[in-house]
Amino acid sequence: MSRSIPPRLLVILLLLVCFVSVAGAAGGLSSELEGMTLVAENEYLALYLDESTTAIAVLHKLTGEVWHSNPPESGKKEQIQIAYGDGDRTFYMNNIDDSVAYGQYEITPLSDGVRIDYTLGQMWADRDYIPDIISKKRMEEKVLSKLDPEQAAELLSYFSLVELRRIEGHNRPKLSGVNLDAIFGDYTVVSLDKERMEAELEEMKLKLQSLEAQPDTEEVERRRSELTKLIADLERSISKMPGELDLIRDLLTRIKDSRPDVELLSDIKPEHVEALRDNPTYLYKGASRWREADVVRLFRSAGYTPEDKQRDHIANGFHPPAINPKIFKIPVEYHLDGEDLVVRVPCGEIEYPYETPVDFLMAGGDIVLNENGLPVYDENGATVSYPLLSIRVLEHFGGAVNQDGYIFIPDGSGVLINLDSKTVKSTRVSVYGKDASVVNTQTVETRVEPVRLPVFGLKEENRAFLAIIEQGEALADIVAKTAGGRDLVNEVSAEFRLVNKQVIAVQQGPKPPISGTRLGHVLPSVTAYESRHYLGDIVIRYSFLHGDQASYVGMARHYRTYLMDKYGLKPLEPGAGLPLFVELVGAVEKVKPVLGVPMSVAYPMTTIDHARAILEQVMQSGATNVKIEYSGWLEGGLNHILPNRVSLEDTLGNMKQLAGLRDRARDLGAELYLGTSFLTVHRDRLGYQGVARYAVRGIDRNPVLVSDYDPGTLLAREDTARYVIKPSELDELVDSFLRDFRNIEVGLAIEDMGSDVYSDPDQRAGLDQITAFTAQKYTAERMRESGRGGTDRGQATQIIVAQLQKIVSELGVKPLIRGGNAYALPYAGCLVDVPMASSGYPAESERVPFYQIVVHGLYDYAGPPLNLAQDMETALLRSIETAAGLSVVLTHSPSSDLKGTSFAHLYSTGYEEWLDPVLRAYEQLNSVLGHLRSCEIVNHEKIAPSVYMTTFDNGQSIVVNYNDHPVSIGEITVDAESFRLIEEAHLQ
Amino acid sequence: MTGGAGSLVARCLGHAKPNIARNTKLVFRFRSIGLLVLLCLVTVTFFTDPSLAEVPYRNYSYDFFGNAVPAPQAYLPSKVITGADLSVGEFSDPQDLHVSRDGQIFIADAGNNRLVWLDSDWKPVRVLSEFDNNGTADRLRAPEGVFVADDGSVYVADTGNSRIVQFDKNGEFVRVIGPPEADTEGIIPQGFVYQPIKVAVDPANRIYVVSRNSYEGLTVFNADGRFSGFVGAPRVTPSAADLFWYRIATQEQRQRMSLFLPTQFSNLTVDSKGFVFVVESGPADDDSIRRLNPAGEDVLIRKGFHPPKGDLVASSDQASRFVDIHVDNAGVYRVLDHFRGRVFAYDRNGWLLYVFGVRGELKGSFRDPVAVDMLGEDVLVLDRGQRQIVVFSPTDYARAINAALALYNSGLYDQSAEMWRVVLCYNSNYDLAYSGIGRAVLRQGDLEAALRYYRLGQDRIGYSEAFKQYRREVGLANLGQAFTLVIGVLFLTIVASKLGLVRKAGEVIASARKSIANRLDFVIVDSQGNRTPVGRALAAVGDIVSNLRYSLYTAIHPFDGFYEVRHGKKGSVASAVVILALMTLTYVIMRQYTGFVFNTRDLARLNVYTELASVLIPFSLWCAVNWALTTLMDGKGRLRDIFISSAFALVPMILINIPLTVLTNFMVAEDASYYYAISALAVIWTGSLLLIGNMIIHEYSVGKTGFTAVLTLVGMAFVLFLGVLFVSLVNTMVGFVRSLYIEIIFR
Repeated sequence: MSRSIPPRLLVILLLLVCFVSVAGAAGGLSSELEGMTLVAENEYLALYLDESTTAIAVLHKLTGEVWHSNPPESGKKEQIQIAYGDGDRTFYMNNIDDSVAYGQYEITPLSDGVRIDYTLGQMWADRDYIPDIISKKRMEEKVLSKLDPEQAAELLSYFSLVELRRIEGHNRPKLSGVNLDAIFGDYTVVSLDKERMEAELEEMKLKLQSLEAQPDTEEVERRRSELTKLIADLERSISKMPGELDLIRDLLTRIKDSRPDVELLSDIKPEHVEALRDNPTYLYKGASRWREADVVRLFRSAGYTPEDKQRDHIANGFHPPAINPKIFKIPVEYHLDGEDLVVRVPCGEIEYPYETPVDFLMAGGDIVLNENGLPVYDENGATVSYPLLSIRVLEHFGGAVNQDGYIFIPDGSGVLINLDSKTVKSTRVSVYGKDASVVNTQTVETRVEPVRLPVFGLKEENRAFLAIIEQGEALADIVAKTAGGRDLVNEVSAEFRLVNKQVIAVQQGPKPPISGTRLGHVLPSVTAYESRHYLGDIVIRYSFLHGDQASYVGMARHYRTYLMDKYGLKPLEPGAGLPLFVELVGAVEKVKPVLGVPMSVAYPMTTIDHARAILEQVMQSGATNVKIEYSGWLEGGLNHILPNRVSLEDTLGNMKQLAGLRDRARDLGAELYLGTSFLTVHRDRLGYQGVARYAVRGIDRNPVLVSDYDPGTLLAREDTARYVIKPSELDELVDSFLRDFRNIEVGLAIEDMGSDVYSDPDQRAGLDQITAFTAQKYTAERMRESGRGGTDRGQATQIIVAQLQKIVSELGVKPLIRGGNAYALPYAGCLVDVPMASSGYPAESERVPFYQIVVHGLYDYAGPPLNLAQDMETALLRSIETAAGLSVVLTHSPSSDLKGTSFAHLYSTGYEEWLDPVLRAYEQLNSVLGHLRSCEIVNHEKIAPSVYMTTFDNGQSIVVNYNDHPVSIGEITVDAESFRLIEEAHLQ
Repeated sequence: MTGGAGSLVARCLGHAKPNIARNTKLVFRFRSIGLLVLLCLVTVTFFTDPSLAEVPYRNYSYDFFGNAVPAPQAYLPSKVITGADLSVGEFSDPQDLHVSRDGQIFIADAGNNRLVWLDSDWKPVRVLSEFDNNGTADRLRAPEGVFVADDGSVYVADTGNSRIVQFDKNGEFVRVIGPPEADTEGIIPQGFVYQPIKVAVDPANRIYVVSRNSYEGLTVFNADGRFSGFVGAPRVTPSAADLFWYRIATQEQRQRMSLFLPTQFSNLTVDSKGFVFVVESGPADDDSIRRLNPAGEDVLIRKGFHPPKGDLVASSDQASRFVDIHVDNAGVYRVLDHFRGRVFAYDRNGWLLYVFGVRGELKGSFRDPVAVDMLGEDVLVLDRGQRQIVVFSPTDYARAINAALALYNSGLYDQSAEMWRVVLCYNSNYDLAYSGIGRAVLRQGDLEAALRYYRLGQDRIGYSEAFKQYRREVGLANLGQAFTLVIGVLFLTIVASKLGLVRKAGEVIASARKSIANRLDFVIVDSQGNRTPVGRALAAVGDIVSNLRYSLYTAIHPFDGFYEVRHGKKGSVASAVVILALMTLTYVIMRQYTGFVFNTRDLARLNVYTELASVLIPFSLWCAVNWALTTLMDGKGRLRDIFISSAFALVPMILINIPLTVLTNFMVAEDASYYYAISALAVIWTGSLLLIGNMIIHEYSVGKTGFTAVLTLVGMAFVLFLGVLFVSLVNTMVGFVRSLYIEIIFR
C-alpha cells in the first residue's frame, strides 16, 4: 500500500516539465497530461502515469498525439476488469472500485516502463481494525502510546476494562443453565472502570469534606456546588454501571459469539476465560456507525492493523478476523518497446487467496503474516477460493468519442464497425474460434467465421492504433462496443478466459435445439470450473498509426511488416501464376449392411491412378502453380485412423503407385500434399484404450466429441462425432507419423493444426478438486510441478507450433496449411481455406480483406473451395478482389456415390462436371491477374456501394463490382458482378 | 471433355467469355434459357450487400427416410430494407406483406395504423391511413392483413376496427365490409368475436377472412359483401381411442375434453386457379397446409416422400409453426415457419424443393418473421422483430430447380431433364432431379438408365414403371403366369413324391451314402466301437438334420407331426434353435434383399441385432406365457414341447418368405396384391400350425385352444407392459444415481 516514487522519477518529472514547456505549444499537452507523471520514455514515445488512478497515457512524440488508457471524456476509469466465479454465479471487479479505492496497489518503476500490482477486493473491512478484546498492556503499548492523551481518552470511552480476580468467599449471583463455579472457580469478573470510578468518587467525597470544612467564601461555595454536582453525576454513572451478573453474562455472550467451538453459554470452559485471569483487558463496547468510523480512524492512526487484531483475538481466545477471501493480486506491466506500447499481465504471478486452517490458529499455532500472505477462511471457518474466470485488459484504451472512424476486428477476413452508430452494439469474437474442449458442443451455436489473426484496432480521424496480442491470444475474446445513448466511447479490447467453466445438467433432459430461441426447460445444474488458470503471460502490443497509415490497410500492412520482421518471412518470388489448389478426396467411409450387420467400409472416391489422371488433365490445361492435396489417403479415408503410423488406404492403390503419383507431379511441376488430420479422430477409430490414452475429457469428465450438426434439427450428428486428441500426446503422435511419412517424400497438408486449437481441461485433480484447488498456495510453480490441470489453450498452441516446426525441419518442405491461424504462418508453405467472408454480426459495417492484405505476396493462398461455396459468384469475386488463388474439391467418382453417407455435404464435387469450368475460370483469371501474385497490396477502398478497388504495389488496381447492375466510376464502367484491371490510378 | 453430364455443365455453367481485358463477366453463371424469362428487378436505390452472401445455416432437404440431407444454398439474402430506407419512416409492428400480380408491394404497418404502398421499384406510391368514408373522415386501426385482388382492388384487414376496407387500384375508398351479421340459421356460434387479421379474395371476388381465435374456419363474404358462411373448418374426427376415453370419462372430464378444439388458421392466400391455400397455426402436422376447393374440401396433392409439414420431427413441440404461405403461378408454394425462421418451398405435388432462412441475430436472420411473398424471382420475408424486409435472391442452383419445374410443367420433359442434370451438378443429393431425369430417359427408352436414376431418386413408383417395361423386354412378361408355373411345378413335385419317385431317388442316394459312410467308418467309430468326437458331432448334426426334415413334414401333416413331438419321439431343442436362427436370417434376408419397389427400409441402418430381437422377444414371450397359462389350465405340454412345436410352426414363414424375397426383385408395384397375398399365406399357415401344435401338445379341444391362445396374447401384452414399466423404472433409477454422482463430484 505504499506508493514509492524513487528520486530518479522526480528528476524525470523535472525533465518533463522542461519538455512540456518546449513542446507544449505543439499540442496543448499540459492539459491532456495534467496530473500525470512521466514514468518512461524513449525516442518515439513517452509513458505517463496518473498515480492516483493508475491511468496511463502514451505520448507519441513525433505527432504530439496522446493515447489514453482512459479517455478523459469517457468517464471510464478502470484499466483491468476481472470476473470470478462463486458457485453458479459470476461476479466482476475492476481495479478502480476494488483496488485503487482502497489504496491497495503498488507502483514499481521498470527500466522501460512501470509495473502496478493491484490487489482487487477489499482485504479488510473497517470493523477489522477494532479489536473486540485487547489486553490493557497491549492496548497501551500498541495504541495508546501512539495517540495524544485526548485521543486516548476518546478511544478508551468506547472500551470497558475488565479483569478476572480471585475473591475469597464471594457470593456469586446465579445464571440459569450455566455453572459459573465450574467456569470461574473462585474468580469473578470485576469492572476496573467501576473500581476506578468508585475510587474517584471516594476521592471527591474526601475533597468535598475538606471543602465543607473551609469557610464559606464565594469561591469555596462555587467549588463545593461544582463538586457536589460532579459527585451526583458520578454516583449516577456508577449506579448505571453493570452489575456483576451483567458483566458475567456480557463476557460469556461475547465468548460464545466469537468462538466457533462454543454454541451455548453452558459450553464455555474455564480455559476460555483463562487469558483474563488477573489480566486487565479492554472489551469493545460498540458504537454507532458514525462513531465507529472515528474509532477506526483512531486505531489506524495509531498504526494498529487487522493482523494485530488477529493476534489479540487469538491471545484472548476470540475468533480472529478473517481477510476477505475474494481478493486477487494481479500485476500489470507497461513497457515502451521502440514505437510500441507493450502491456503485460504475467498470469503466473497472479495470487489467489489461500486458507490457513482455523483449528491451527485456534490451537495456538503462530500465524506467519509476512511472506506467505494472509490467512483466509470464510465466516464458517470453511476453506474457500474463487476461480478467476477472465481478465479484461485496457478495455477503454484509445476509446474514440468522435464519430469519424471505425473499429477493426479480425472476424473472418476482417470487419469494420463504424463509429457513427447511434446505439450501443457490442460484438465478441473468439480468437482461433471457440475451444470445443470446453464449450458444450451439444448446444448448437450459429456458425460463424473463424478469427485467424489475434489483432484488433481502432481508427479515429487521422490516427489509429493496432493491437497485436502476442501471448495468451488463444484465450482471448476480442470485444468491440460502439457508443450510444449516455455511453460516449467506442472501444475495442481483449478479454482473456483464464478459467473455463461448464454448466453440467444434473438430470438429463431435452436439450434446447435452436440457437436464438429459448426452448429448453430449466434443469437443475451445477457449474464446474477448470482446476487451474492460465499460467503464461498475456502480452498485448499497441502500435500507433498516423495520417495515411491510419486505416485498416495501414493496420494490415503494419501487421504484415511485424510478421516479416519477427519470423523472417520473405516475399514470394515473382514468376509463377496464381495458385490453383485442387483437393482430391481419396476414400470415404460408407456404412453397408453385411448380413444384416452394419459395417463401415472404405469406398474409394479417387484412387491414386485417378488422381494421377486428374493431375495430368490439370497440368495439360496449362495451369501453372498447381497444388494438389490428396486427402483421405490414410487408412480409413477421410475419417482416417489415428495418425501414429502411415498406412495407405488399400482401396486406393499401393505405395508404389503413390510414389508414381509423386514423381509424376514432380515431373509436371505440380506440388503434391497428402492431407492429414492430427487434432481429432473419428470416434470409431479409437478403441477403449485409445480413448483412455488420447481422448480429451471435458470439464464434465466425459470425452469431448466434436461433430457436425444435422441441418434440420440442429442436433449433433453421432456419425460424424470425433474425439479430440490430448495436446500432450501430440508430440509423440507426430513423431511416430513422421518416422514413416518422411520416406514418402511428399508434402504434408495439415488439415487442422492451422485452424483449430483444443485445450485439455484435465480434471484429474480427483474428487477433492475443490480442496486441491485451494489447499495450497495457488502458484504457477506448484501447478506446473504437479502437472495438474491438463493443457491450457496457450500451451496447446505452443505444442502445435512445436509440431509445425518439427514437420518443417523433418520434411524439409513447408506444409500446406488449412485455415491459417497466426501461429502457423511462419511454418506454412501455402494456405488454403483462408477466411474470405465475415460472420455478419449486427454491428458490422463493412467486410474488408484484412487477412488477404497481410498474406498477399507472402504466401500462395486461396479461400474455401469454390464448388462448395454458398454463392459461387460472390466467392469468385472475392478471390478476384485480392487476386487470391482458386481452390476446388474434386472426386473422381460422381458425388452421387456419397448420397446417404455422412459425407453427403460433398454434393458438388464430381470432377467431370467441375474440373473443366474451374480450369477455364482459372486460366482466364491467371492470364489477367497472375502477375499480381507476388505484389503487395498497398490500398483497398470502397469506391461506390458494393464496388471495391484494390491497388497493388506495381500501380495496378482491380475494381470489383458486386452489384447486379453495371457501375460507372469516372470513365470506367464495370459490368454487373464483374471486375476490371486498371493501370495506375485511372480513377483520379 | 466428353460425357453426358459433364459437357452439359460446361455448356450451362461455363459461359465465361475468353477475353477478360474486354471486361466481360467471368463467373459460373447459369443463364436462364429462353423459355424462362424471369422478371429481373434492377433498382438503383438498393445495392446488393456483399456481406450478406454468407448465411450461418445450411440448406437441406429430407430424403426418403426422413433424414435431413445437406444441400447448397437456394436463396441468399441480398438486401435488407427498412422503413427508413423507403423514406416512409420506420415500420412499427408490421404484420403483413403482399405483392400484387403487377409487382406492387403492400405492407400492413399495424403499429403506425397505416398501409404502405410501394411500386415494384420500392418507390412509395402512397401511404394509406386516413380516408374519406362516404363523407366522413375515417382511418385504419392496426391493420394486420392486406390482399390485392386480380382487378387491383386492395383489401385491408382493418383489425382494430373489426372490418375489411376495400380500396380501388388508385387508392380510393370503395367500401367497408363489416362483421358478419347474426342470422337466423345459427351459423354464427354464440360468443363469436370477429377480429379479421388476414384476408384474401378469389377470382370470383369472394372474400375470405381469417379471424383471430376463430375455430369455425374462414369467414366468407360474397362479392357484394354479404356474409355467406364459414368454410374450411377442420373437421374433428375423433379416433376410436378418443371415443373410448370419452365414454368412460366423468362429466367434468368431458367438459374439459371439449376444450380440445381444432386449431385455427394463421394465414391464407389464393392461387392462380382460384383455390384458397390456408395454413393452420400451431405445431404443423400432415395437413396443416390445405388447398381448399370452392366446397371447402382439401385438394392439396401430397405426393412427396413426406407430407408438406416443414421439419420432420418426432415431437410436436419441435414442429414447424406456419405463419404465412405464398403460391406462385407455377403452383410452387412457400410457407414460412415462425418457429425456426425457415421458408419451405414445395412444388405443386408436395415435393420439398428447398429450405432457407434462420432465426437469429446475424445479418440476414430473422427475429420474428411474419410474412412471406415474392417479387419477381426474389422472396421477401417481413421481419416484425427487426422491422425490416429481407430480400432473398435465388442462387443459380435454385434458378435451375425453378427452371426445371417450369419446363416440366410446360410439358418439355427432355429440356427439363437437361435442367435437372444441371441441378445435380450443384447437388448430387437432389432426389427430385433423379426422378425427373429418370422420367425423361424412360421416355427415350433407356430403361437401364431410368432404373438407375429412379433408384437414386428413391422413386419407387417410377422405378416400378420402368421395371415393368424392362421386365417385358427381357421376357418375363407376366410374373403372375410365372408364379402359376412355379406353383404348378411344386404341385407336380408333390404328385411325384406321392408316386414314390422321390422316395426311390432318396433310396438311391441313401444307399450311396451308406456305402460312403461304411468306408469312412473309422472316423466315426473307434476300434472299441465307441463314437469318436467327430462321430458324435456328425451324429448330432445328423439328428438335427433329420429333425429339420421332420419339421417340413410337420408343416404339411401338423396333427401327426405334433403328436410325435408331444410324445418325445420327434423334434429336438437343437433343431428348434436352428429354426429360430433360420427365421432371424430370413428376416435379415427379407430386409436386405427384398426388391427396391417393396423395400422401404434404409439399408445402411439395417441391424441384425434388432432383427434378432424382433424374432426372439415375441417368440420367447409366447413360449413362456403359454407355458405359464397352460400349466394352470391342465395343459399336458411341457415347456420343451411348447418351444419345439412353436418353432416348427415357423417353418412356413421361412419356406415362403425366402423365395418371395427373391421374387420381389422381379415384381412391380401392380404385383403388390400377389406379394401381400403370399405374405398373408405364410402368416396364416404359421398361425394355424401354432394353434394346432398347441392343441395337440396340450391335448386341448379346439375351443380351449382358441381361448388359451387369446389369453396368451393378452398375457404377452401384459408382460410387455411390465417390461416397459421396469425399463422406465430402471431408467429413472439410473438417472437418479447419475444426478447424485454429478452432484457429489461437481458440487
